[in-house]
Amino acid sequence: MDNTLKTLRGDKGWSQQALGDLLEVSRQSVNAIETGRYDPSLPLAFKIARLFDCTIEDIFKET
Amino acid sequence: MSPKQAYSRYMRVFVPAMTIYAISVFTAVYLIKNEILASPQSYIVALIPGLAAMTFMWAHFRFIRETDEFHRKVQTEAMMIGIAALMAVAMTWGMMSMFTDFPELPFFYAIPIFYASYGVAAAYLGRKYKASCVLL
Repeated sequence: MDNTLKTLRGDKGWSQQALGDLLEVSRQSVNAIETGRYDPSLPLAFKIARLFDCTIEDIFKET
Repeated sequence: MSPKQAYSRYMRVFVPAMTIYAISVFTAVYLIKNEILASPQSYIVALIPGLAAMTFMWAHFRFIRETDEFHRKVQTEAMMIGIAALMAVAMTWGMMSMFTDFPELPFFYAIPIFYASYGVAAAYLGRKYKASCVLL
């Protein structure tokens, strides 16, 4: 699954660690999601979407 | 709880429990093999490694529940590989000792075989997924 998490995070000026802290996950988890090595669960995807004030579909796209 | 905190909590139980396990295994084998202990005492000494193993396995279970979902996935995959390796060894060795003159392997070896396979798998998957806090 492709995602725009890295861009969204960059726009906010947050580090991976800072985003991880906000989402209550590790920096490695943020990195794994951004690089497409890991697809988040639905609750985490909702949490990410709410944090950036958009929908899950705005962030995650099926490949 | 962050994965790092969960990992620290896990290590605080795992390291002493594994140390007690390792020491008690060798002590129990030595004492029982050399008939140093009377029979009822042998039962108690033989139970200590089992209790230590249950303690570190409980800590491992708690770690998997407390870490984040990405690390949980890596841990679960590593444990699946560990279980698969243990099953493969048990099946192959069991068949060999049942149908040939291959020596029997005591159940006792299940824990070292599992943790050795799991450790290798966790190290490999940790590198593959660039995840920390995955090793024993």
